[in-house]
Amino acid sequence: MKKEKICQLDERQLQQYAAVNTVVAWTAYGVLCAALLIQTALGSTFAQIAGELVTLLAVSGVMIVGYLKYGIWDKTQQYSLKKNALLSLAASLLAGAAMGISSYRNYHKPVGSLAAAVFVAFFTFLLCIAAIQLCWAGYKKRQRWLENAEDAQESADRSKD
Amino acid sequence: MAKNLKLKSARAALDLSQKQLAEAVGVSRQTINAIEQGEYNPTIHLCRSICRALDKTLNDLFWEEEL
Repeated sequence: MKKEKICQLDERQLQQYAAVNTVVAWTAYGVLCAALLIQTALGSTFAQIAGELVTLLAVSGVMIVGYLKYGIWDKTQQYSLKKNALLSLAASLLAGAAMGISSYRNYHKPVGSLAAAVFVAFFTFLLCIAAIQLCWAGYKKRQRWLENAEDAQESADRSKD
Repeated sequence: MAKNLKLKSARAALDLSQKQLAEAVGVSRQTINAIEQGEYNPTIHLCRSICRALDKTLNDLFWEEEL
């Protein structure tokens, strides 16, 4: 029979444990993103970065599903299309720069590299903004569901009385 | 957050050390110290356990009088 694990921490320590884990997780996430950008800029092929890419996508997916499940948008930021557009722009510039550098290193064609950078930046921007908007739509839907679920519970309680 | 002097004095009145109170309520001594120093805001569950251990009410230990 499987033995149930007993928590060795009290409530304050559990909060600190979660805080440390949060810092570790975000650091790992940032470093993973940086590693992907640097590897791309250094001319790594898709096969060479596939492992990191799959890890990043999996972690992002788990994060998005977790936030959606509990109706969480962000710890400090409220939704803003302008902010999302700026974030998407920053991501697209980074991705475009990495692709441009990589292309120039491999083919030594400035115009072609610039075109590749612009192409990647443009589609990264579109992809990012679409993904964020999709998450926002999902968040709103989930929030509505959670709020209504609360109401249903209350009305069930009232009907018992 | 202000220091919880009520908790400290209630513990002292029963001649309990932070460690003894911590063992009685099932937390670490650092947690009791953090509550007394006002560095940690305990859950209602822990507040109740502390009240039971010190034979006090929530009002006695955790209610802040308005200035």
